[in-house]
Amino acid sequence: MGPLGFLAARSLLRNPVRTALVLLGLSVTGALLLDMTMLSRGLEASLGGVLGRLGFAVRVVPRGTLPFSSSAEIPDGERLAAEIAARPEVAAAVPVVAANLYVRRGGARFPSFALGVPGGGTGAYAVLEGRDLPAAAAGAGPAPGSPPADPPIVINRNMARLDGVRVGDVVVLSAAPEPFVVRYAAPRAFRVVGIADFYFDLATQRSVALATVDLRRLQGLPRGAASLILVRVTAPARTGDLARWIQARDPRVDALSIQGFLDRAAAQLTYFRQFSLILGTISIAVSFLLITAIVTLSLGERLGEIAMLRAVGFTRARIASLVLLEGLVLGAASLPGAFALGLLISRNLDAILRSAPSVPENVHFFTLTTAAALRTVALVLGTGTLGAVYPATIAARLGVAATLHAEVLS
Amino acid sequence: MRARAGLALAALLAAAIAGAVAAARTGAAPPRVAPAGPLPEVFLSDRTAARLGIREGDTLELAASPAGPWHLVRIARVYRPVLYPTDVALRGLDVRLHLPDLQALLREGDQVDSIVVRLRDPARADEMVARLNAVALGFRAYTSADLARRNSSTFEVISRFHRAISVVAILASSVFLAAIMTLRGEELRRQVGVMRLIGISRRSVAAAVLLIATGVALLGSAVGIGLGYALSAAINVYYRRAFDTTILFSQVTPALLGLVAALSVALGIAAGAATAWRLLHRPPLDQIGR
Repeated sequence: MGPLGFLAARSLLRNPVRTALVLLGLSVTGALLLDMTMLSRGLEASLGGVLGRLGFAVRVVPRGTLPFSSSAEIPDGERLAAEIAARPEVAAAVPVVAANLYVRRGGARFPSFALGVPGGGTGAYAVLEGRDLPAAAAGAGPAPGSPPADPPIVINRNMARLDGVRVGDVVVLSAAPEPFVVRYAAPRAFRVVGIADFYFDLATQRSVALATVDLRRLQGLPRGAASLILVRVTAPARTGDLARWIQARDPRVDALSIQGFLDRAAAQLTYFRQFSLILGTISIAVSFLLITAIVTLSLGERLGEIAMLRAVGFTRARIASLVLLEGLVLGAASLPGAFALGLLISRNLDAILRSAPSVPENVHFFTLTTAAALRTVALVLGTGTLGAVYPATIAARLGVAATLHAEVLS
Repeated sequence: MRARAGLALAALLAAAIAGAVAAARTGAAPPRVAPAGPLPEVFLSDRTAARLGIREGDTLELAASPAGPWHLVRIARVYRPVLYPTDVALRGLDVRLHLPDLQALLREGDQVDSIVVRLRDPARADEMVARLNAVALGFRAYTSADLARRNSSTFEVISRFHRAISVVAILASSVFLAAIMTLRGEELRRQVGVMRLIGISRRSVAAAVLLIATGVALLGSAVGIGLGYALSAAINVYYRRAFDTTILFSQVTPALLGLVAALSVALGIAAGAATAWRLLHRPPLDQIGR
């Protein structure tokens, strides 16, 4: 390998401008390949990362849906959650209710996503400022004899940033948007006790978390049903068994592990996977052509050198290996540029796609995972080597005497 | 003003119904609501009918949630809907009901998700929207143009994404062309040296190199356009079959062809100019290796 490496490096360094141009070209196509590899599973990886951080191994949803994707609810969801929580491998089962409410503060009124939780400390959101809802908020009321206090709510950062709502402020929540309708929709004042990250908020979405009992009262609905049950387990290895038990227990629900959730969501993301497949294939084809063209043309300039090497004892296989090594080295040398450029481009492309409506703030389309990086490295190196196959074949078949004779004449 | 709540509105909750339909086939037998008179009639899209394996005249049970209650309906027609680009990737089942039937199914009374208003004078749409919004009841009115703008924002983002990707592709092809022209220039080195030694002017040599570069670029763009047509056709065939639609997914337009050709020529001239400059920068004797 020593002499081959020396010769390959020497031939590549012989014309630095050409080699630099080839590396630049390979870096651009490699960058595109990296971006497409990141895009193909990026959204799933990003979503999986956020879901994993939340710590809920199983999500129980109305059958055939994804969390909060429709207004469908699990009948007797709270009772089902209690049964799930009684399982030995379950640390907590949190029934969550989702609804759209209207928040009024001063003269301003804005729609908001509302999350009804049994109490604070569920992990459905992360408190950033102030405090959480009381742990025993569900069913809690003011002490006998004391004036009724405003129930607590936690708001998201968008409401704090865009509407100027602060911890300690009082806002009015209602199930209906306009004053005329509000009169019949039992609006109620709430005190903001905390500001939280709700994980999957859209760019300008306002969200609030409040006790389920308060949310149901605003909606004028009885308690019992749930939009979603979040399940935290003590034994992650038994997640599959638990999901199967839940589905057997109630056929009206789907119990989704994180992977099951991602698989179901992935069915709606075929565009990105197919787009990345097409563009990734094109970038590989361009890299292949670039390497084949450059190595073949550069080989034409040093046929005499190749013939000399053959004359001094290099076998056809070693000559072919030398040319293949050049392709491999070109691919390897382009990797740092490909990764640097790819990451830079991906940030801009990600920003473009994330400006689309209905894209949660914590989710990214382009995610650099170990698998994506390894796949890109393997594809670039493989393409570099394959791109050199044709010139390697020419070099290996070279007639020594005829080539040397032609060199002397030229 | 003549307001009409169209039957199409009923389809807005089809996803929930679709989930319920799926549940009915595998779940425990839920309560069923017996019809008082003739069965309500529904329309099914051909895709939905194919997935469920049912046809016109068959009956179907619908519910607003997997828990029921289930309502028996009759399939009056299987039709092929006109799919909008926003709908094409949706894989849910699609059932259309008469509005009163859906309202009865949902048990939410006289409630609709939207009302489509046809005006006698469409030019007064903005005025009408302003008047409706001034009523301050629990709704918000939009003109069709406003709605189109709001609904097309995702496509505008995708379009911007495609444009950004095309910039990267142009960058890659520019470097490719520059590399090829550099190699070509080195091959021409001796010929250029000889041409200059026999008295051919720098301008003529530069023009020859530029001509070669432009020719390579034009030939490349011609091949590229051919490949583009083939790829576009393949994309349309694949996605039309995948989504069972006649929507055009990829289109090669005259404006696009003009842009590609112009870019190719510009890039070819730039690469040729750089190569010519490098070639003419060296003394002729040096170029022929003396």
